[in-house]
Amino acid sequence: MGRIVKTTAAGGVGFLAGLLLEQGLESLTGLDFVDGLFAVAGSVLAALSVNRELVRAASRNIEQMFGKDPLEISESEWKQFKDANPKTAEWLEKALKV
Amino acid sequence: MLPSLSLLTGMVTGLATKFGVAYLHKQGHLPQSVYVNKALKALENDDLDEALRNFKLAAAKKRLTNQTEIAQEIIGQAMMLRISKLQDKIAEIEGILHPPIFSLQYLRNLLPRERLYLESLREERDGFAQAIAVLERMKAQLDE
Repeated sequence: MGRIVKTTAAGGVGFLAGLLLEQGLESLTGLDFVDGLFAVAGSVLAALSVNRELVRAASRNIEQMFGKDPLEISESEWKQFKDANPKTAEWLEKALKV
Repeated sequence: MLPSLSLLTGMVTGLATKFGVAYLHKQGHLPQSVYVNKALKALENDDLDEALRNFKLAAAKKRLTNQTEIAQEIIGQAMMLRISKLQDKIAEIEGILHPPIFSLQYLRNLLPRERLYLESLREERDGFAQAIAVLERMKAQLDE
């Protein structure tokens, strides 16, 4: 029983000391230590979602260009878009398997 | 009282990661797709400055990939669309400021009570023209 109490007390003191040190360093340096790790994770996620973002951005441009949903544009409107944005159009055709 | 080894290791790793990532990010050393993604997110929020800044970072250190070139085209088109909208607004204002002689608008513009309104339209037109000039400069930077 005494051992459990001692271990718990030591653990508690260690936790508090660590917490105080971390908080102190954070307030001194203005850094969030976990933030760095999230930044790496965020970068990986960002890299994975680029294709989706490209499709969305292109779709928004088409919407602004013709004032309608990209699915509703006519053949001639698509050609007009393709003339203005050849790389995007070609990539969209491949990505969406049109 | 000394902190535990695991806590110290965690803190050192956290600090190194934080500084490392911030430095690499600022210098444009992270993968291009990270900057492209940020540029596209900025575009979604209508923040063309941020989109351009991130695109330039993407292109700073590495050769443009197919994905980056497409992003460049998309950002460029967003700029051109905005320029086109502003030009339409300027044309609309010009139609009011300089209507055909003998039109109702022409006669209305002669009324003293319209002076303030016409003055505000002129200011608006000049503002749009300045915005177009800024956007054209940004487009030129994007294409550099």
